[in-house]
Parts: sequence; structure tokens; C-alpha cells
Amino acid sequence: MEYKDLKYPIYLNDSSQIKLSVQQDEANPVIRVDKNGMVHALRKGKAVIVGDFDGVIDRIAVSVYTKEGAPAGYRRVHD
Amino acid sequence: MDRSAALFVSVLTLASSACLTSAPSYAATESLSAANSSSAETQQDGITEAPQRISVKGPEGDVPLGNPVELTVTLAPGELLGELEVVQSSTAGFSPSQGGGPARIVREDGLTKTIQIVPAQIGPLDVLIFAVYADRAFARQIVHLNVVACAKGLKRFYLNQGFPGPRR
Repeated sequence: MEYKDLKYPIYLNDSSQIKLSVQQDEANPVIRVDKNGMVHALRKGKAVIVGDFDGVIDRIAVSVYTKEGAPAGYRRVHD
Repeated sequence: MDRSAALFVSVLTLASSACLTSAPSYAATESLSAANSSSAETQQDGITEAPQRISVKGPEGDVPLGNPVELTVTLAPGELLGELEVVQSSTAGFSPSQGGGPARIVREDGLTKTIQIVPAQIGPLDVLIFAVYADRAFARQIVHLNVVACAKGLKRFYLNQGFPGPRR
């Protein structure tokens, strides 16, 4: 985040003061976000993570792939 | 390295060790330091610790991230080497890479100075305020603040990939 009274952006130590929610099919969730902000993939699909910092909102799209279906750059060469 | 530069390096070493070793209490915002528990001047590496030469009053309660906070600093009489300095140190792990340096003095009334700091990390934050006197006395105080989320003054907020998790 960037503040007018600070020269450089801030990267928060922890996300506990950001209210995180997920827009997805709640009956069949794609991801789970834990209290530390870690994203856990549950199944293939897409979801949107919404962050609310004191009323200011940002969103990021998340795509979960299967191991075999992931784009080349996301595949592990070795397990 | 001249004498004043060498003294300043020693003082910074003392200052940073103070940040790391002080036992914080975050039940409420308070203005005290480990050094302040004794009013006696003590010597280390040719520098005299002089906690009684500085006192700091901080705000009560939580303070907002990225917004100016005023602290009232009262110094004992004497010639200072350099300026009143500020160091921010987050006890949660990462220390902010900004928000430190020479104190921004917004008001002055004799030996009492009102300084302005801008908290640059969220959660428990130690603010070390120190001054070095010409007689090699080092006066310092640590103010414990609890910094909370605040949209005021926020120019941009964005989610990113975050820091990498622990390697297994």
C-alpha cells in the first residue's frame, strides 16, 4: 500500500488487519484462505480474493489448475 | 573516521540493541524504556547512558498506519551532537525501511519539542527516540505503539503475491 505521508510503499508484515473474503461457488469451493492469508487450492477452477483494508477494496483473480493441466511455467519439472 | 563519527556509530549500535532487547508491553500505548528504570548514568564503550535526560510522551490508544503521530520530547539542558533521531522497529519481524532518521520537529518550546513520526508498519511498533550530548551522554526513550489499519491518506492498496511461505 502507498500513503501520501510515506515516501515508499509498505508491504505488511501480516494480513490480519485485511479482511479477506473469496468470491466463488460456496457449495463447491475452489480455494480456502486461512487466517494468515495463505491460499490453499481445493479443486480446479477460478475464484476471486477480495481484500478490504479499512473500507478500501482490491481484488485478485486466482486460477487453480490440475497438475497435468497447468500452463508450462507452473509445472514442476521434478517432484 | 573522526571522533564524532565514531561516537555516532557506537550510539547507533546501542540504539539498535535497545530495540531488539527491550521487553515490550503492548497492553496499552506507553512511554517508557528499559533504560529509564534506573535514573543513574552508566558507562559502556566510553558512552554514558543518560536516560534521565530525555522523556517522551506518546499518544494513548492505537495509532493509524501511514498517518502522522505527534510525540512530545523533553530534553535536559546541554549541547547536542547532531540532531534528535528516530528509529522505528517492528517487533513482529520486519522493521520498516522508512520512517527513521532525524526527527521532524513541528513545534518547539524551549527544551520541549513536539516531533512527528509516520508509523510505517502495522501492529506493535517500537519507536526509539535518541539524542547524543556533547559530553558523550546518550539519552534514549522507546515508545511502544500499536499501529492499526487506516484508509486516511491511503493512495493505493493492492493485494499481491505476498511473501513466500516457509520452505519445507
